[in-house]
Amino acid sequence: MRTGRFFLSLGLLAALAAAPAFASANIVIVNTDGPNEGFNDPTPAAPVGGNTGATVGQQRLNAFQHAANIWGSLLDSPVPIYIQSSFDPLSCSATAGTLGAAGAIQIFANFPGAEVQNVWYHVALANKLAGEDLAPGPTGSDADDIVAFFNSNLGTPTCLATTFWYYGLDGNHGAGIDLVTVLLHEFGHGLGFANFVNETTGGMPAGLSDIYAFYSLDTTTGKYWTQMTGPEIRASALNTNHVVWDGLHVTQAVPTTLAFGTPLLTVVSPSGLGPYRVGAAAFGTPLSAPGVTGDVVRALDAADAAGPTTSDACSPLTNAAAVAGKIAILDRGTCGFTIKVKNAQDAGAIAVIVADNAPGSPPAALGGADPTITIPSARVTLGDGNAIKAALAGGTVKVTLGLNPAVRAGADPQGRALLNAPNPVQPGSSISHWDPIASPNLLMEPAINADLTHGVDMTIDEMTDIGWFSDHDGVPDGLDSCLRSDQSATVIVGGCNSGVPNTVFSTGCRISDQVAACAQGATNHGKFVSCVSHLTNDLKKDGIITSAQKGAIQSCAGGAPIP
Amino acid sequence: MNHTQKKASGAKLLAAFGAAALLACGATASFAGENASAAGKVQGMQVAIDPATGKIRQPTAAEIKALSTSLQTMLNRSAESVQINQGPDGTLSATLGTSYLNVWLAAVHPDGSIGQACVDSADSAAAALQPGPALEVK
Repeated sequence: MRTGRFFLSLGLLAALAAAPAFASANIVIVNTDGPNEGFNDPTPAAPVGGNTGATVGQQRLNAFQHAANIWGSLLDSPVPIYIQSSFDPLSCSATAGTLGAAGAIQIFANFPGAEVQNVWYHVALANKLAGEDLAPGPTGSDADDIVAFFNSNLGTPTCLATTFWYYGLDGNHGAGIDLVTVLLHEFGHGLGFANFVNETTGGMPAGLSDIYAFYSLDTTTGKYWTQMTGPEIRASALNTNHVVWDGLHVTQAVPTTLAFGTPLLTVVSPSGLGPYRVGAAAFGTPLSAPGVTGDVVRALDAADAAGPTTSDACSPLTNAAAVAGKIAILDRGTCGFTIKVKNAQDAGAIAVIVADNAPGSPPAALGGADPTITIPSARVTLGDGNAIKAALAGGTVKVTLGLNPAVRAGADPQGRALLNAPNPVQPGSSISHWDPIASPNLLMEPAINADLTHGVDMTIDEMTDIGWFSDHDGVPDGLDSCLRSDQSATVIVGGCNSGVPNTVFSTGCRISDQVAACAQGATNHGKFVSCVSHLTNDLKKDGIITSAQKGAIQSCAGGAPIP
Repeated sequence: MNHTQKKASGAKLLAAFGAAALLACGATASFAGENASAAGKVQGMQVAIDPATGKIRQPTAAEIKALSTSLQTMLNRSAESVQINQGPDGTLSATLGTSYLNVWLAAVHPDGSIGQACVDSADSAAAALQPGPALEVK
């Protein structure tokens, strides 16, 4: 029997929901390279950044194993995870190339141990949940779990010669590409940070969605990706700022991972407009909290050789008196951003909104340099700019341009992590990455940022949501507030078995968790007994336990040496 | 949260999983050949130089096409070509091989810097191989 009744304190929930402290998984690198190539390249190499391999091949292998060990120390599985690995001369030129690739080799659904039915799981996770290797077979075959191959030619004359793989294990990659970080990212995809949806067609294998999509929520439509039709998926993949990860553990990790301060244009009045995401300028005063507040005024200039429209601000403004002391809105186009913003500043504007002249979102940053510019500025999308202009036609529009201190960078106003959903598609997969607005930078953004260390930040919480630490209580782990709950069949209090069934609630918590909450919050035995008494009275009122069962639990509590 | 689940629609046709890595390798030689005539030296390394500007150049259309072709198998994601197997206990499985990969690409920006991106579709790959300026100035 399950009920939605919820008794636990938020503090205890957070403690119970944390990932197990003694996680461990054995991740095996399966070297599929031939003699004298790839991992077996005998070229001598000097030790670098803690990688003591004496050959190029050994250093590559060491970097792979290092990344595997990091994930292995964080995940939990009784089944070894095999990564079919190689270093090959992948397609590459002097100007562009494939650095590497990785992904799950097999997918499983409706297997014993799956807590969500009719969705695909990455095979390594499916094995963990099933407690056995669902795809047994020899290594080096499709029986492996993840395939990962990387480019052995990088840095050679015909393959992006100006960069190179950094095989060190210390993160000090300099101008090179840190192989360990890229591996952590790509292994992350293979372990579960990816969907199996074709976002171009909306197609899914056998028409089944997947465990990643189960937690991908479009906040505009209110639909999860498991609930969408193909056309809805295609539209959602482009719904910038409105696709979030809606799993409990990631959402709990957001406050300790992402910093407050999202660059936003907040509309003070009229109501019903905004807030709008902005691309901050690389020049002028950086956006700050609480930001600059003022009325918006359209900047007007001559339509001349410098700029063909009266809204491009490529020439000195002709309505300086109206702009002075206000926030100017002007259009992108023809001349540089710095020229536009400087003209607005010269007219007395206190900040500038540059409305894009081409569709697309999120709005890109404003590039350029001019040390004489001292006011803040930012870009909004074409659509958002049009909305502001339309509102201006109806009256006064008052806005605040700055860092919204109430919204974390990389999360929506409700505190859920944003997924990458650019429109049009940008370099980097949509949905199967965090939104790159995240700050600090995250491992699973579409591109690796140079400041990343060899950690996995809240990617481990995504792994928790999809099931890597499942307690097999039938409650999907991204909805489970008590992943480490006492799974005894009956309620046991201080060693006393009450004989009362240890009911599981829809939150994933059990009666034993609620008793544990009483124990944790009690400063003396009397308070513990009183708490258990209130708890069991509520359970009795809700029809979850009988009077006799209430008495049994209370009797155990009374005799228990708690605290 | 309110989730609904879909029912399996039945088995799909067998997918022919090729060795994507080998296909990718196969395209390498043509790349090397194309670039040989446009190469120069920068700090002891051979790089692609635009003869008109003397700057490190971006990928040519031919280079992008060749690279995109090499990615087709890795970014296939053709749901229809995935063969679904069902076990006696109801377990469903499918071998994706190398057709649902996340691919790490790099390409030269207009300013000569190298941009990187992890892609899983032809669209995002195309965007990654034709990077705009790292930061627009107008």
